[in-house]
Amino acid sequence: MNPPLGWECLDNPPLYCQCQYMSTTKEQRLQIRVGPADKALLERAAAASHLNVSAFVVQAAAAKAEEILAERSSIRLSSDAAAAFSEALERPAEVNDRLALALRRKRKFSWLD
Amino acid sequence: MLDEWLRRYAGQNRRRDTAATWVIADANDVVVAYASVAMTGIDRSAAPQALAKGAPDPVPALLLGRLAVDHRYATLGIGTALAAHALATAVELNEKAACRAVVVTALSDRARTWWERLGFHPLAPDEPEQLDLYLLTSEIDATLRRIR
Repeated sequence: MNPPLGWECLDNPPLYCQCQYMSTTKEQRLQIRVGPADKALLERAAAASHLNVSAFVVQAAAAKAEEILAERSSIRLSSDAAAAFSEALERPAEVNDRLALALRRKRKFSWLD
Repeated sequence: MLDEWLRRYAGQNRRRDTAATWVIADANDVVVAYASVAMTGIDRSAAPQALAKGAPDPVPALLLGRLAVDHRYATLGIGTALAAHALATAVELNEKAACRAVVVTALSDRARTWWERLGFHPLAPDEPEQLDLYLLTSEIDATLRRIR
């Protein structure tokens, strides 16, 4: 018998929920086809990491995704976004009140050097 | 997960020469926060010609990625200090060469709230799946002059 919708993860605890950007969103399903050699490789690595395969694949892929996003040499904008950004660039410099407020907040540590 | 990256990918990162890693450590040289900083280009080639005044060159910008603070140090303002250092660097780069904006990628609602508190704007306000936020170097400069 299939479990009711939304219960799939009960027998398969989503360990990766510890990571910040997954904890607040509802679980979604991603199906991936994988060859037997890759599957065996992933299973061995997951076991070595004390994770289930699903958690291992998500953690490894999310880390890689983060790395790629942080090192993009180009950020391509859609037509609308590009137009809006071009307009923003043309505007005279403005003080950003939220930034000013955040930077004025007293920090609770001191620099050693 | 972010700590994992530091251990495993900092070396690889350096080898590829794509990004620098900035680190804040405590008195015992234990890392408490870090971020990766890279130069990027904002590609506006999809913009309507009239607005972009011909095929525009990419806009040089600083890409601030993977900012992370050890949760035991979370409320001290270390993340803000690291971000502020990156913003000041963008101003300096813009004076000496060209760096028109700072871009970050908000990978969670929490991260988005955090960056918005620093005044960041969405790069694509009408596209909720777009996670990139930015500040113009001109507004950073104006703001830093105001609060100085």
